[in-house]
Amino acid sequence: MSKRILVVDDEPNVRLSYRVTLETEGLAVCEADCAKKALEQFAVHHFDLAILDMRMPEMDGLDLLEEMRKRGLKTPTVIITAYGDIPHAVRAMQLGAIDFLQKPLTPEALRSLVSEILARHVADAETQTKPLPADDFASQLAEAKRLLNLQVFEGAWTHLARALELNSKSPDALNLAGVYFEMQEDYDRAKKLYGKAIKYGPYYEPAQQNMRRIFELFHFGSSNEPMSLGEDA
Amino acid sequence: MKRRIFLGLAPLFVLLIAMGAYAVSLFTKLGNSVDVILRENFRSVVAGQQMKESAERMDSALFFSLVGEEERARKMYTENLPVFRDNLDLEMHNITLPGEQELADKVQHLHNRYAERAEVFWKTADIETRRKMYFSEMLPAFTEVKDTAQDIIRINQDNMVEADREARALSAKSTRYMIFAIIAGLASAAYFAIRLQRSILEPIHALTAVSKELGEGDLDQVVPVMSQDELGQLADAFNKMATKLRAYRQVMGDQILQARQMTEITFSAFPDPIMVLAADGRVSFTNPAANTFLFKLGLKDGLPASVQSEVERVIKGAPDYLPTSFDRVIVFRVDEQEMFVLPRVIGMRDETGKIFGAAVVLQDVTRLRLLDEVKTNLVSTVSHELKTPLTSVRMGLHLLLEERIGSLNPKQTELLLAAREDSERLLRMINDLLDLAKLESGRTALPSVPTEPLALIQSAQEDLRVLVESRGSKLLTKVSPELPRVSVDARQIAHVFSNFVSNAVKHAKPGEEIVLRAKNQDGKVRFSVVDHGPGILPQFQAQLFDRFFRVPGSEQSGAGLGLAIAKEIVLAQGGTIGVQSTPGQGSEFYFDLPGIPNGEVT
Repeated sequence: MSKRILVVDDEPNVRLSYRVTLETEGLAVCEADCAKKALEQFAVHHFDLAILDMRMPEMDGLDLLEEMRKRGLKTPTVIITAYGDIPHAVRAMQLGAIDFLQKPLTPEALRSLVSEILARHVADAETQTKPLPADDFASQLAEAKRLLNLQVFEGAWTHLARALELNSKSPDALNLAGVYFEMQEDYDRAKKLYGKAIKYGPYYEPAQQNMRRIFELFHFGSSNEPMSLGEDA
Repeated sequence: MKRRIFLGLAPLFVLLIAMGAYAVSLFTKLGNSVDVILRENFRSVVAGQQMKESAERMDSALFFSLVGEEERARKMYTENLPVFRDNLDLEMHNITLPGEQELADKVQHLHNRYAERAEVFWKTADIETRRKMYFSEMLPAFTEVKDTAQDIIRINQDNMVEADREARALSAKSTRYMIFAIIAGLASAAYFAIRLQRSILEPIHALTAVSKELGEGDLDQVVPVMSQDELGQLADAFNKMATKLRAYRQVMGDQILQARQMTEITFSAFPDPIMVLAADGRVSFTNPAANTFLFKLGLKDGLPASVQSEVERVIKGAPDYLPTSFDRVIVFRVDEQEMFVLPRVIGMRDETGKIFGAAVVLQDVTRLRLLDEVKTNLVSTVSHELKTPLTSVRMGLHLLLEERIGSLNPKQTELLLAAREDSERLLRMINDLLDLAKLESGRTALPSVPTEPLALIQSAQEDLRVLVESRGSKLLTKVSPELPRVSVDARQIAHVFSNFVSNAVKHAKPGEEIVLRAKNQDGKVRFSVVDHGPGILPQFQAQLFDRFFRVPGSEQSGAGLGLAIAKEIVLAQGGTIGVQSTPGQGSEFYFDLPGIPNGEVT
């Protein structure tokens, strides 16, 4: 049985392009043009993944996500942002959303992220439970992300910490850890982790955005102040 | 003046001439009288002596005859008689003194009698008779002659003594007169000299005093004109000059007054608050806008604290405070509304550069800021709105070209590839616009981190090597040793390098070298990208960093925003950007960043 994916975007042409992209992968795609319609669909069908546009009239992507979680929907989500927008990563993580794509995207990027998330959540066919992940960086990170999607934060941190032990220079993992600590309101640690993420991945956009956001949060108007990007491990 | 000097000196001349004449006459008189007296009297004395002597010889001759020496006695007598007569004759013609004539006559008379009696004597042959005659007649007669001659000698000698005494007296008197005359001369010379000095110096002193007061600004001074001479003319000329100066001051004063009124009216009409402060920080002038502003803020005299601190810095010698960026804006609440003010503080300096005050202009940028925000928001909104349709266009093109939903013939593929290329370009342009809008709003800055210039160059080389080598060029680095660290957002700087290098690559011929360079430039660190491409004509160099500017005739590629973004980035990092280019030889695009002094803890 093919996986079902809900695309929520107020632009029909955008929805069409997403649909074609995903259908060529053999996925079943449903569409909703607003948050309200999306919630209606959720009431009827089960979805393995939701693709939510950040900018929508009335309820935006995160508001919809919040409403979904309130209704007990644990569906993993991809948040589509616009270039130049800084998503509120902490609020998103609290709602279990850690995967972002920036408009305008390419079919390949959408396909690979969707398949990564779906793979993350593939349950063992027989037990319907997830087997213990292998003790390698990729598996540990994937498990951490899965648990984050499910809002099981403490468990997620265990795997994320292990992943970082295995590879302390992954911008992706460092950035996630940063968001995690920011969520714990440990801003100094969050800043250090973002700093490291930028250091090891100068073009890794999410870490840049997070650093900018946390920076604006605390240093607005005094952006010439030098700041450490974390010590070398 | 000449006359004055002449009149002053003339009495001295007269005095000198009179004294000289007197002295000459005195000396002549003195010399003459002594000379004459001495000469005449001396002659009389000598004649007297000769008479005495010859008379004695004659007497001796007579006496000798008594002792039998008749021959010798006669001879002696006849020899001396003419001598006596000659001298008597001489004396008779040399009568100078009163009584001398009588004495001479007496001598002549006595001598004549003596000579008569001597004839008798000689005729007398008897010795005894002669002897008796000699003692009774001849000897007394001789004695009388001798005594009378002696009298002549005496009166002449007396006269000589008298003349000598008189001459001495005259000399002493003359000396006294001369001393008196000299003293009188000196006194009158001094008197005239002082008078002369006064008459010349007094007007000059007066002129000096008036000049001094004139110099101190009292133009109403007049020099008294006391004479018609050169000094009088000078005083007159001076007074005319003072009159002209007064007129000039009047004109200047009017002009200054006019300029002042003009300035005041201009300031009054100026909508922004203007305040002028003296060096001690006291407010010495405010325009009506400033009065209203300060009143509404409840500041009676004095400036808002944030402005005051800048004023103090400028007065202490800091450069003028002329911010342009909106992040220097100060917000006030006036009439329940936010007022955004950009303060400018300009030091007022005299010719020596010493600060004697400061002018403060509080530029009201509320509207400007609003407009700027609207513009930024507009760009941002429009770009976002453009993006949504672009997303589906781009997705669609990509999907078609994947050929997973159907195969394409070569023509279709070619067209779609062209469409995809342009959609990518469109995307880049929109992203550039968004970047620029964000940079302008000043909200993109990531924290600056002290970074080694070498690390920046190396990471740029790593990032860009593939791009450069794919075009058949070479990317080299050249970094001076011991450069100070710079405080930067490395990613932004990487963007600038990327922009410089991709520009260089576009114009580079295969095999050409592109150099990433870092060196010291006047205490700053200069990062640059050097190429050997066609270069840029000087007239375009200044505009290169303007947005949407493209060198005419160049290939169209981007929106002409790349260098404008680079410029915004470098400015935001506290640096300066520029280009040095020689057409035909290549270009060097550079940016200078201030180095962090060694040893500074960051």
